[in-house]
Amino acid sequence: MRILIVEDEKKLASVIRRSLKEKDYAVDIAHDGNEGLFLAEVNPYDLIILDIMLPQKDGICICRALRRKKNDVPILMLTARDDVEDKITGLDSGADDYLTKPFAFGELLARVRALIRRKQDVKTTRLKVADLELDQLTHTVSRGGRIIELTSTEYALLEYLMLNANQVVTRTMISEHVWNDDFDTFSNVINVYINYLRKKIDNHFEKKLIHSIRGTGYILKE
Amino acid sequence: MHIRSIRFKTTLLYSGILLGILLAYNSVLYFSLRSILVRDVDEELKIKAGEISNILLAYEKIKNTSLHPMSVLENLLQKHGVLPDRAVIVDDLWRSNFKTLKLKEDYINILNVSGRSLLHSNNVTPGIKDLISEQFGFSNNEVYCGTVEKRSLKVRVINLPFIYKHNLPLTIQVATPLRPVHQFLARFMMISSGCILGTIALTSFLGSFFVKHILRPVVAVTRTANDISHMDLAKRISMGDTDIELKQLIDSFNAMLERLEKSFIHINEFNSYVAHELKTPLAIVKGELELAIEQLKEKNENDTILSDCLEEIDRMIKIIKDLLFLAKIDYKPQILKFEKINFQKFFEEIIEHGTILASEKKIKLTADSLKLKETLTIDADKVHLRRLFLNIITNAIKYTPANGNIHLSVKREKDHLFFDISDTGEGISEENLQKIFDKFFRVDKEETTQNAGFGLGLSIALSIAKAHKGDIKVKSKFNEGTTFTVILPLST
Repeated sequence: MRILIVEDEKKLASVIRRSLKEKDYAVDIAHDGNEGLFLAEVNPYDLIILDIMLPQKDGICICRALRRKKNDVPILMLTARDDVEDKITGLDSGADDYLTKPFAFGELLARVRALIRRKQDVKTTRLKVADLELDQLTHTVSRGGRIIELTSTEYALLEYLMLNANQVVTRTMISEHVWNDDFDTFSNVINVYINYLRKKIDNHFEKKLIHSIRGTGYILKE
Repeated sequence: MHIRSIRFKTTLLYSGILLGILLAYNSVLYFSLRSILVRDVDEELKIKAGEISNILLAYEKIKNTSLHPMSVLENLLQKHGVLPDRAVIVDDLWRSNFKTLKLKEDYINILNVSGRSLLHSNNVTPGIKDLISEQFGFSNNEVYCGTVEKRSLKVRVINLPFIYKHNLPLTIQVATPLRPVHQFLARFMMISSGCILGTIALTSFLGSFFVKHILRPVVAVTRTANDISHMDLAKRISMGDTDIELKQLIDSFNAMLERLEKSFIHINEFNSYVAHELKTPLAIVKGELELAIEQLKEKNENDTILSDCLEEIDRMIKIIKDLLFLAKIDYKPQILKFEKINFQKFFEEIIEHGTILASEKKIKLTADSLKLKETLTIDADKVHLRRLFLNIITNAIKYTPANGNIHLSVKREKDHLFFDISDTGEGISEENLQKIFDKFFRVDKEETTQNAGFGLGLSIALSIAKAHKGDIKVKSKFNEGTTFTVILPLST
């Protein structure tokens, strides 16, 4: 897996590179916009981590330029700005995900994994993990053929876990996607909802699907 | 109208000036009118006295000397002439004169050289005689007029010297009461004071109306000044069709606003610039620490210094985020995305989340909702509104001991909703009650860091409420608990 980091802050780029290397990713670094765009165009990357505020050419321009050339490499945007408008501009320019500085590296790694994986997945409206099935069209959930009734929050949470099946999702990712907020009081709320879900999905089955990853988040897997 | 208002003062000033002018005008009019009237009376008296002397002369001519002048006079004045023979013609003349000159009302007195009254008309009482003779004695060759008065009686007197039968100098005194003149003047005064009062009342009414009209731009300036908060310094006072003086005032006011706006923008930009600039180094430190901790973990080692540092970095990051949020919501409220939300559903969600948060500390959360037929909606940014409520609930949880109680309730009053969040915590003292919404204020200074918030939760809650055109009120009883009331307008 080859990742390009476009970040003008050399120390930050370096620490991101080292933590990615720990996880055995191959990492290139560009320190300005032009260099970043050049590298992204000539090398086939699996992911680009792109800062927005860059010398010469900003992240939004690079993102647009790549998408115009039908380059569909997953792009994770990094920025110090966290206004909703900034997020919208970033995502509209073609980025796949958005992370605001300062971030936890566990968070960054989880998102990197999710993005790389998403590219490989075939899109479908029926999600399936072991004998647990979720239909995104009818909003029905069943396990082993038995329909499970969920509240809307529980459904949204399960859908998000299943979309990211077999990979760790952090509490921040959950609160951002299920509650549209990254307010930290939510971590407690999320724990409780995970417990509700467990009761309904795992309680009567021998094989548990929802697992906690201490300190980071949760994973739904066989 | 307040006493210390320009409107009142101006009205008072020109009403006063107008009153002064009218009074002066009126007194000039009064005195000249009086002197004209008195002069008329004098003219009349002169004619009367002249007429009396003429009659006397006529008698003198037709009667030879057989009759004593005094008896002639006596006949004339007291008996109104019942005279024999030729005197009848004169007598008739006298009677007609007596009538036309209206001598009946007048006091007629005839004095001799020594000033003694030889004869007088019937109506001259001793009192009147004394009164007149005090100032008017016998006069030699001068006709003169004057006024004597005593108590309510005021009379105008004329002295006319008269030579009877070539050698008997007499003075004919005719006096008439000035009552009609005074009655006329009194009536004149009454009418004219009425007119003055009416004029003053009308001018002060119209004047105050016009002053109000003139000062209208000042009211506009005041209103704009009141409307301007740090959120909308872009507002300016419209110039419209105002007078030069006010134009200058409005100009300076607008210029001041311009400068204020610039410095606010500058400060705000500076704040968010600083906050942004701090984020990158913090990200680097955080990254390095996490990496180091990760690497130690792989070797099954643990370093509390590193994890403490990481904890503090996280705290710092949260403070910066909150400060940035406060700066943004106060100066750039458009970060809020308003939509119509169903408040019952929203309230249920808050209860659900609150219950989860409270249960950790074994605090019971109860709630009673409004029972309503219609669905009520509020214009709100759901995410931020949730944050407002959870901030207050978290705060309540923090200051409520385990096994305590938190109660949520909501009621509607006209077009506002009042959410009460009451706890059974330690309460807040009166002096601190004013400060709890201040940034970085914390009631207990000796809290353990674990329990410590950053003192920004309630400021954020208040800013969010204000951005929703609402407010937060707080009531507290020491050792009994605190009630926060969130007031939000219903959407129209």
